[in-house]
Amino acid sequence: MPEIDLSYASIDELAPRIRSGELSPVELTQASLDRIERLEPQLNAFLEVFTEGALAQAREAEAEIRSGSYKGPLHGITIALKDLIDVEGTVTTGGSTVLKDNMATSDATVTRLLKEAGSIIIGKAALVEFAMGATGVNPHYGPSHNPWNIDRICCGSSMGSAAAVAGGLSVGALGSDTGGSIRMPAAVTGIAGLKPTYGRISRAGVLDLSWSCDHVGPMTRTVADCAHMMNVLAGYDPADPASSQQPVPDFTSELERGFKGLRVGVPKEFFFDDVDPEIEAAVRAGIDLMEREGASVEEVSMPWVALGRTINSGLLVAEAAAVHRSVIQTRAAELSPAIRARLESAIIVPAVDYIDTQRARRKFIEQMDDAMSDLDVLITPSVPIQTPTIAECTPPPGSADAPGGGALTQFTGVFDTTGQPSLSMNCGFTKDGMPIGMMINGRAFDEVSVLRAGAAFERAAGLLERRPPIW
Amino acid sequence: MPTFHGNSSINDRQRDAARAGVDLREERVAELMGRFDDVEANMAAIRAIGVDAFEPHAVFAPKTNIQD
Repeated sequence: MPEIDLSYASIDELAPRIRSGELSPVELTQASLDRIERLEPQLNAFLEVFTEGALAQAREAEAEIRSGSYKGPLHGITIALKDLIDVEGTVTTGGSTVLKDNMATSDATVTRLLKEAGSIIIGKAALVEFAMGATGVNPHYGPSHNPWNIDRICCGSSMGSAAAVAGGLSVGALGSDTGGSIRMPAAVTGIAGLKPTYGRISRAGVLDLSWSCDHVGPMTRTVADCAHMMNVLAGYDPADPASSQQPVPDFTSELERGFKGLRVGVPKEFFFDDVDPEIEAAVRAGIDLMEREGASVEEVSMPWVALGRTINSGLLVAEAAAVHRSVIQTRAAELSPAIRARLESAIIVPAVDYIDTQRARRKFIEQMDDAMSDLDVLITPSVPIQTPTIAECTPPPGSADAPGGGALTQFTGVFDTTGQPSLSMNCGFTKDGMPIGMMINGRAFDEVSVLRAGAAFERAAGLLERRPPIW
Repeated sequence: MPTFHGNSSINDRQRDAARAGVDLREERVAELMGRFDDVEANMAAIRAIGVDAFEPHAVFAPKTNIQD
């Protein structure tokens, strides 16, 4: 097999080599650890690196594969976990000093599934405190830096997961998404991030932010790699009260099918009304490419769609205030000013307003279902603005507010309200070399079509060879 | 005299927070008034949505084991 760059190889490239014995999981893990040692001071992607544990897992994987017990495409693959996901015997901080002694006594379901698949858990990735923020800054542990320009944010809240994958420190990562926290970081770092359908992946053992909006999902360099991770992670889990019993497909089954016959919708309203011109041009060029490759493209009117973010925000703040009520009551002074202000101000939401927000959500989902009844996917930009700098998004000392990044969640939050599958992937670059994200949104439990469209776009666009200017 | 933001006073908001079990000093409530207004504005936008025909979205509904 041809030589590959271990720092940027995909699971599709690595897995056959690991399976055949050409590449040892120990070699891959050591390469990740070496790169982490070299680049982590600039990227700040991790809160904890499991150097010894990862090498032990890698040696075990190597022995299993040598003895003929190859487990599948994730065997021997390095994965970073957002530090709100439990790993037995390690601390889950949630990005907060309030939880600095929060030792996990068991693995989260997703951790267990990854370990059973033979993955190497390389470390715990940085995040915004309590996963409650879009800009990717954390006064307690510092911001993660964007590998494409280290002065710019990775967005939040899964900022370390994105920096680790985009910077070549880990093959894959897990993030969580309540208002866009997988897809915004994926967009601004040029990787693929999939928020699956609500209930598709277990949240058991994952810190809560908003029970009815929280999703766990994969972040990888390629769309196909997201599909490989979905094949390991998806499925019913009785430990998660919202876990779905929908049948689980092979998420790789249509990756090679292409665009021919795919029905693609483009919203007339909202998503292109107030978006950066370079981002709009790149996404529209992407849609044109889909059409040239055989997709049928039609505009869809959805004049109600802007309310999706409003509903998401209403649910998120009320549920987050309930999740963290005891912290607000007893340890508020330990929170960062921004998170403290968001939680304290959310405490006033009346019960009837929260209930009516869930009623509005039901109406919104029905409207979205109707709008997408004749579509396979809906294409939108991932974020409306170009990637702000860390300085623009950092509140002055003691302050809760920063000037930059306020509009970031406008588009992503819509699909946390509906719970539909939503993939952000790279569709181009700005003039100053920053990645541009495009969202491919599918119907509930149809991740297969989302991944099909994403993989087809990836092949047609040919953007994967471009790497961050590092190091 | 209390300072008014939107339709609510600092004392109103202090009482709202206390009902939720969070005791905020008057100075802290004053600092947060703009954020309370943002939360209220979001809720006002939601109240304007006609939801009479809709029950709340139920994400934790009872499950049927479809594999049975």
